[in-house]
Amino acid sequence: MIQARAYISFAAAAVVCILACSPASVSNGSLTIFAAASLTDTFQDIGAAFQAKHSNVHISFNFAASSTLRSQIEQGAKADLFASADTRQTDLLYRSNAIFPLQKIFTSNSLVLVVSEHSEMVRSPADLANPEVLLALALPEVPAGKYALEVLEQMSVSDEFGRSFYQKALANVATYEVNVRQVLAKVALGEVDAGIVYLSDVTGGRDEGIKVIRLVRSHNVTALYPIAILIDTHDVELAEQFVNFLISQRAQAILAEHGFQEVLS
Amino acid sequence: MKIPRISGAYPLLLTGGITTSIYILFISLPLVALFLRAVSTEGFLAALVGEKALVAIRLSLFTSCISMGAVALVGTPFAYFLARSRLPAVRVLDTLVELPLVLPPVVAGLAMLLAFGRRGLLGQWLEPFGISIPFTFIAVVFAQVFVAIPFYIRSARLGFQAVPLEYEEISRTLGVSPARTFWRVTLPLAWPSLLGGFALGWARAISEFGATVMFAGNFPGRTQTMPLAILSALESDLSVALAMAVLLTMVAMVVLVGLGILREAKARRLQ
Repeated sequence: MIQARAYISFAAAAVVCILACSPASVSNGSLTIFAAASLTDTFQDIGAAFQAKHSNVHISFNFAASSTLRSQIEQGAKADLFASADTRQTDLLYRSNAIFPLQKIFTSNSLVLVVSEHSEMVRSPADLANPEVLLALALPEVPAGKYALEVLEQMSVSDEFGRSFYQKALANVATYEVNVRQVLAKVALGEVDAGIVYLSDVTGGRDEGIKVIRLVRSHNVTALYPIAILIDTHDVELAEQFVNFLISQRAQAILAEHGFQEVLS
Repeated sequence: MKIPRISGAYPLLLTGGITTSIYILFISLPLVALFLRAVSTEGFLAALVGEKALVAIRLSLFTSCISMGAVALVGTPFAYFLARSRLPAVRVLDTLVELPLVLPPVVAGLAMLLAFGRRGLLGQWLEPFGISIPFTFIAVVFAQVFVAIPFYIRSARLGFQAVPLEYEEISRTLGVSPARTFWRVTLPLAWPSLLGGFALGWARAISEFGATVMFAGNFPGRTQTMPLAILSALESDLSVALAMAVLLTMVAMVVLVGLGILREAKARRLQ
């Protein structure tokens, strides 16, 4: 008898748990937006601004490396919009018929060298090739990592660094982090001397424990950020409204605050 | 107390049967899906024996063996101490043993960085001697030991506790030294529990991800174990990721079954 009662109360507790944990019911439209890790803070601000205009709309975000998000979408993850840190991911999704062909480039980003405050090892980009420097990059498979390698390559072809710069810098890589924010974390903790991240990653108070070294234009690359609507979206209209909002002055101002650069189209 | 009739056991059997089927479905369906998807993916076989997978599985096996060696070496005497000691402090130690179980691995990795990292509590004193743990295979071993050792100690402790104290006392009154008593009496009786805990701990070590990626970073051939390699491959090449996932599952199954057989054999010898 006691056991039966215990079983019932356990079941009741389970039911309460499930009810308590289920998401609040959503009315009047909702958007699920998959966005590149580098957009994390910016999109949260933009989402809030969008909701201020459309009070009944519920927005949920999924932030990760663009390539991770692309795989998730390929595997059937439900989303309405995909904002990527490079056009390669959207091109791949377009080829697999997951997004509408009209993708909008809504902003751009550039790269910077970040150096740990604790480290004296790196004072200029040329020091990246010095022996015993520890460097963190994002995985070459994620956009930030691909761009970082491009930056190192560009330095290598310029006369001031020399041909061997690229190989020497690569030999200093201690870790290929799964996303760009992890690169920043490893530098901020002082575990590596330097890393290459987006300018937007270190704009707006996210520069604790680090020093930022800007790269000259000829060494830098421009990361273009496209946004695309997924074929499987349940609300094309609302998704379009968000895209339009993204290129509006209000949203562009928020992007600029976070270190992104406007694209002229 | 009434002796329960057979018919009275039916609801219990039925419940058991239903929950067992639900459990089997729940666990095996994702694995079956993984295997099916993997074998139907182009380039699966090539990826299975490819360079990326081989480098990662070699590192995983190498580091997990070292980790489990350390776990057994440190964990066995410690578990015996916990099992036999009557000190009140043992309760505090108990909590300490179980703490890594509830700690999210990423937190464990971060904590290890703050302790053994270049700027860490201890690490900053090692740095002048040229000793740097993060981003090396030693960091991988640290992460694995941290998450695996609770499983081993818990199981070993229960095993040691189940060995009646009298057996050890009898052995000693017969003039056998305490060390020899431990080897010849206590350890053989506790073998099944030790092996059970070892298998669980090893499983945890080889699947360790969060603490490793935080503390050891991700570098192919140096710190990129199977779970990290799988995640990295997912960024670009699904077939490689699937192949490695299947490989990891198969290797894990072989080791777990092997340890299980060994454990059975030891348990049978005790009867």
